[in-house]
Amino acid sequence: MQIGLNNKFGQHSATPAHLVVLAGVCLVWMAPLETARAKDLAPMYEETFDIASGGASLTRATRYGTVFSNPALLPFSGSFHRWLGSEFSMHINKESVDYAKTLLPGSTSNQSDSGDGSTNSASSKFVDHVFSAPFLAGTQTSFAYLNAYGGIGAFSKFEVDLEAQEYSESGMPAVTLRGKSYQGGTLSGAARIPFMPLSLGVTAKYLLAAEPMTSIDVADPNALAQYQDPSALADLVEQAAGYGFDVGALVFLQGPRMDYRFALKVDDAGGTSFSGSDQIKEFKQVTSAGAAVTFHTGKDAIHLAIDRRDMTNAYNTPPFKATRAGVKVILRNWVGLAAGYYDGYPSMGAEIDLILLKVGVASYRREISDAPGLTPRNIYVANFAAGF
Amino acid sequence: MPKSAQSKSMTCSTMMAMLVSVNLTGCGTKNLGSCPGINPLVKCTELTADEKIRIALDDGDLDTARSLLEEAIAAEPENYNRYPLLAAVYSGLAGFRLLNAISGASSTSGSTSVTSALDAFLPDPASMSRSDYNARIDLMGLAVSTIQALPASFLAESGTDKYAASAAQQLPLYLSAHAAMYMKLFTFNFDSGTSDLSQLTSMSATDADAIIAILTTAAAQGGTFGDLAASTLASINSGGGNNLDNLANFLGNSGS
Repeated sequence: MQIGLNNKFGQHSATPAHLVVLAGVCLVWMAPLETARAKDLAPMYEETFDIASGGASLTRATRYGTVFSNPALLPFSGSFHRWLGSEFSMHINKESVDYAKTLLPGSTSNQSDSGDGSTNSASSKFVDHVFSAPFLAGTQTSFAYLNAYGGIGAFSKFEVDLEAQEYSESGMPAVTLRGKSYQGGTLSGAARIPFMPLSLGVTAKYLLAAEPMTSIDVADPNALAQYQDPSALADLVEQAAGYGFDVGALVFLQGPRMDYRFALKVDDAGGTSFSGSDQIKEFKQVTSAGAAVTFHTGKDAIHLAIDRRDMTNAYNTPPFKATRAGVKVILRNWVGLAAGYYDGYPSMGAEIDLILLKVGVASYRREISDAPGLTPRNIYVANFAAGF
Repeated sequence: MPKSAQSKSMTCSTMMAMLVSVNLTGCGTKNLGSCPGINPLVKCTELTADEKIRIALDDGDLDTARSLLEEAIAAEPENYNRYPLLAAVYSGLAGFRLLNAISGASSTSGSTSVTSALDAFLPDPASMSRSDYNARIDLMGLAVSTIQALPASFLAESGTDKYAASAAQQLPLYLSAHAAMYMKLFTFNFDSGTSDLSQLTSMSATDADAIIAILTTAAAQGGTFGDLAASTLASINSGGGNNLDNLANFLGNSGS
């Protein structure tokens, strides 16, 4: 588990010259670019432990998530080797878990269903459930090798969100489907600047992306007939392909008991153009910054971090989504606990390092829309990583 | 473990416990970005009128949704996309759930009148007073008049515009439900809470004319419920008398 203390990292102290250089780098990278609007700002790949800490991962990230969060973190692993292994995580929303529990043999709800012996009652209950609670599920997998100078990896993420509304915008009952499908490969490089507490990193990425979204009025026969045509469904999940770059910088000021970290990150530097789909044309350049303070002993640490995403308002990200804050606590280098605020809601989780197997869980709430409280999803995540 | 290391570990654990406690106390449904702001670090995000309406609807708070929609329509009367939603909210407040009617539409295939087709989806009069039921009939009337307030040019786009299509679908359904509820008023004894055809004597010629007019308008809309209204009207008019006698005969024979 790459949540260690970096305690093999050398001591540095900041000087005014260092900060001037950093400010210069910041000014160059923060120049906004006018590009087309993409649909979604949510991360394409995010580690469970980082989610648990509110998604504030610019200054400290976990395993393969490092190359997406901030590749400049790579040199601060404390050793040459950082991670070789595979990961798998599952996401499911709380309401679906709760409903599944009612279907288990022996559950009170299940007994009352079977008690009346009515199939109509059960199906009516199912319809009521579908129209009262959304369904969200997803998976994320990766395989990667990372060291202090870079890494290579491949990932896949799939997520579907199904929401039925008794009163849709048109007034009729409707079902809204939102999907996310991201696959790709990454090649990262990173280096520390000699004689300075500064590192720079870059991640080149090849992406296949689809973000289908449709709303179907269930009473509209034309809308329903439309999706009986396989080509309409194929159009809905048409994948776009594109190449892009993420660039990051990190200032690491280390003390005997307390460290400071300042990060700057540019996602999709210059914009990532896509082809092959009418749905996704471009991911806009997004500039983010983060700051953190770490209190540590030899093997324990508390890492308090705050990130500010989309500083140039490329996506007009509202403040509650742009601000991510959280804490990671590392105990004895094999247990990690985390809590934070993700999309303006509390998040928490834990991870345990069993040498070659790392198991993590998290619970958080994500806001699907840009309006606070409009379409929240309570999500459970379980993560399994095999590697070292 | 050395005493100092143990102490440091304890300190870490204590700090984590405190942070998790802070996190847990923040648990709830309120977002840090909700207004009025609750955190100086996160500027609150004001919701638009449509977002407030959506939250009220998702919370099942139809009264709030109604108020917000009425305000929004008063502020922007030419934003016709909100009218079908307000009509649906009125019908929901009347106790007529579109979802039930649509999911049970297949069960109407054998019906020849709006009373038998919609009876299962109308509010149960046994659970309310006559004045409460009258109020619900008025709400269903508001649902109808909200759709009827839309200009013909908007409804003409029902082939391509989902809001116009929704309005065109809702109108015959609400008209039929309005007529069925109106008729129920004269076949139900609200004092005893049972069906009672002797209540038909309370129906006036004005009431009968109003019900026939609603059914006539519904029949003109076509579609499943328009056709049902037409067949209901044909059954009523087969009596050959005036509207009051014909309707009383129809309701008496159908045992509604």
